[in-house]
Amino acid sequence: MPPKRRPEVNALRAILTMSALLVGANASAGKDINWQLDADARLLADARERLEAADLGEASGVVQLFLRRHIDVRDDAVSETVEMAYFYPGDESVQNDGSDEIHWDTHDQDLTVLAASVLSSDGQTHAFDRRTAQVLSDDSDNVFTSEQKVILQLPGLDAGSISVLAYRRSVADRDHFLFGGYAMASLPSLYREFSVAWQGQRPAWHADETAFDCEQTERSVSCVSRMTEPGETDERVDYYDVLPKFTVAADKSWDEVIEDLTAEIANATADRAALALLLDDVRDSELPIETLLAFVARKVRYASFSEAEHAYRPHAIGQTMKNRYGDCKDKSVLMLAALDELGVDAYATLVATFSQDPESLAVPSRGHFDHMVVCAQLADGERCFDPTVAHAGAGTTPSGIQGRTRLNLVPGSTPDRVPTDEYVWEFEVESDLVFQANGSQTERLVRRYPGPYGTLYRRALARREANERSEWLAERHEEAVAELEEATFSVTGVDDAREPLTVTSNGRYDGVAAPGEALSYSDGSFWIRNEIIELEILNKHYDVHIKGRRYRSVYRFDLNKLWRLRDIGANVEFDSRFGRFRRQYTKRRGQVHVETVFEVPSQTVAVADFDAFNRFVELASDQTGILFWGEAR
Amino acid sequence: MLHSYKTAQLSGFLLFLAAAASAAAVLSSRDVRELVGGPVDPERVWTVQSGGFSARGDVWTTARIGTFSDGSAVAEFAWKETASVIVFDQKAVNSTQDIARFRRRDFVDEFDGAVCTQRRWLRADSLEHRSEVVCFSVADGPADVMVSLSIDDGSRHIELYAEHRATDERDDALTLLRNFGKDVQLHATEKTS
Repeated sequence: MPPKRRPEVNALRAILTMSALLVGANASAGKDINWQLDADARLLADARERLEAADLGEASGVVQLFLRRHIDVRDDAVSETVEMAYFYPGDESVQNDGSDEIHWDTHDQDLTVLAASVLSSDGQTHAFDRRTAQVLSDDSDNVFTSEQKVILQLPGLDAGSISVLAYRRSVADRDHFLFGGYAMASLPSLYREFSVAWQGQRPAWHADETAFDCEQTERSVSCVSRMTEPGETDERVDYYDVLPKFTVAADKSWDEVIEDLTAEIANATADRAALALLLDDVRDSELPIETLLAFVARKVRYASFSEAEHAYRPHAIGQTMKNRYGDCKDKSVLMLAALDELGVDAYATLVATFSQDPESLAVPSRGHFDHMVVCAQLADGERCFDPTVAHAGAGTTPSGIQGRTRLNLVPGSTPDRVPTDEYVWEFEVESDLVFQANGSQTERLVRRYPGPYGTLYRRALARREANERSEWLAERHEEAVAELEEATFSVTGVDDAREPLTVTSNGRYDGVAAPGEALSYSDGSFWIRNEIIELEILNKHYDVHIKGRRYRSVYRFDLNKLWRLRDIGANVEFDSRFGRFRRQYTKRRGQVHVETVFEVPSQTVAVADFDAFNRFVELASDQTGILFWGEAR
Repeated sequence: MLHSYKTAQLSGFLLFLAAAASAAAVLSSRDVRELVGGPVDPERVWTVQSGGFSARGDVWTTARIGTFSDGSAVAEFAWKETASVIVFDQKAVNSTQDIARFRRRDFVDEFDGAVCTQRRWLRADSLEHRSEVVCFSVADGPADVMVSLSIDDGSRHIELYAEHRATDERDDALTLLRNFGKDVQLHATEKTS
């Protein structure tokens, strides 16, 4: 669920930034921000007038009185002026929504704050003190945003008060701007207007017809939203794809966007002398592409330096090799150049990590994208490499970008989706369990994680010493199943992502059964069960994209001549349109073998199918328990 | 008698032992044939919670409630004098897994050395879950056969508890019991019953 006020963010891609890192709040206060607080009186008067005209009834939460975003496209610059006002009807609304924030790109935008003040319930006006502004980094891992946000704690807010905020963001690059906003807020809104005026060439703009009424003149357009109710929130949703929005950008075709960026990449990769040694090693390798990926992902550390013109321009690969650091663009073009030298048909690809619907990119612009990867046409089809993922398993496109909206930087391309594997999350479990005369059970367990699970394990294990790894694995084992006595763990494939990450454990469970008495045994089959349960869809309003799951477990129980096997549990064959669950018991001379397979291919589950999908998940998870019965010998 | 408690209320079965025993005593003193009704009408829908079910069965006839159960059944059927099917409405009473566990335990407790198998599947193109427990007695002489079939579509849940007493043709008996279940269908809304 997005923070309540995030839909006001200017650059639409900024809605996706998840993590905020404090970067010297006091030291950075006011840095790069122009303060020109002279619009407060006008906006407060406007807000008061709208409040008096409105019938807010018993509103208890914050109400947006107005939002006006005006984009002014001039020959030498583009600016966006945002004016907004809020009404706080009660104490709770003040507590929950009493702070404001402005996002901007510190490298290519100038920010000017035009108004920030409060008209409290007693009629007093309280101006914001710029010295209290907190500037935070708004970057996500591994994407090339240079976003920051300034947090404004407005003074004097109380129940019945009004706040106003206005600011202007300007960019000098008329050729590459992208501004916009959603038709609705995440709170009730009385009035939302988006307008554009331009000099010279008309910019490209789009307003969702279902949400806006627009009026156009020769050099301007103004769109007012009809959506006064808050947008629906959900557990798993890319709001960029589902909420109606207004977007305006420099008038470019996708081919022009691609042309601009491929020219930047060509410049960055023109001098390939620095690749010579790397290529020698790679060519000597049995798996050259995997070896190359391992180098770029793990020997060139991730560090974002999207300074100045480098927001979309990668650094020269020679510089990246020398620095041994770079952001996603730098790493991607480094890998791209090396792949090119290897004769692989590869190309850079822009990724919108917050979108899975190419249709949501209504106007062509590079500003929709926040990530760059490399894709290639290999013998077994297209595969994409994300060199910012340090421990990705071999042979698959990293799960994080699968299905995301992308633009291949190949002439003639238009946005589509990064290919999605039929099965993304996979593992295999083999457990050999032997009942002991003292009532315990010994286990040798082998778990193999070939894809993204392996990446997660590698990431966690790579930063731990050997003894810490065992401790960490023991904790995970206890969380998933139960405490394993005298446990030993060994792991392979941590340093070499070309192999499936494999965890082998040996240990003992105490107090499992009572030899001499009839055996009624049940086992939770937890490795699979825990994952199936996670698939339950909690959304209510928006379709859900599921990344495919395929799990297999084999449990071999040796009764060790302590019991005579009598009955076994149910064989199960659940085949549904969503996936399948199969359980097969086999009796083998004093042993019970139980094989379980759970498969849900990648798919989009529509809202109307949520109940049916969740029923399938529940039915499957209910069948995970292993049962058998024995007579005492 | 094959079982001493034929009731939908499995979880509290101990409480029903006395009632079921008296029911068994009543049954043993009656001629079952007097309790048997007409042939199974495939158009008829028996009412259960949130809907109903229909059945076919050319060789089966309907029986009065209480003929084979303790009276908690929603329908009962008979084949000759040796096979019966009791239908319990298990919605909000027992889960399919509880039923499977209980029916198996019930049978093996009664018949030493009995063999039971279980399977579960989804009816084609649906999320209707079917769970079946099949048990045979293995003593010398005629065998007793029990088939418990739970049908649960998420809104309705019935159990078909079928048994064939003392048969020399075990496989035929099993086919007879299973075929009845194959033709049973759940219905979302009640028709006239």
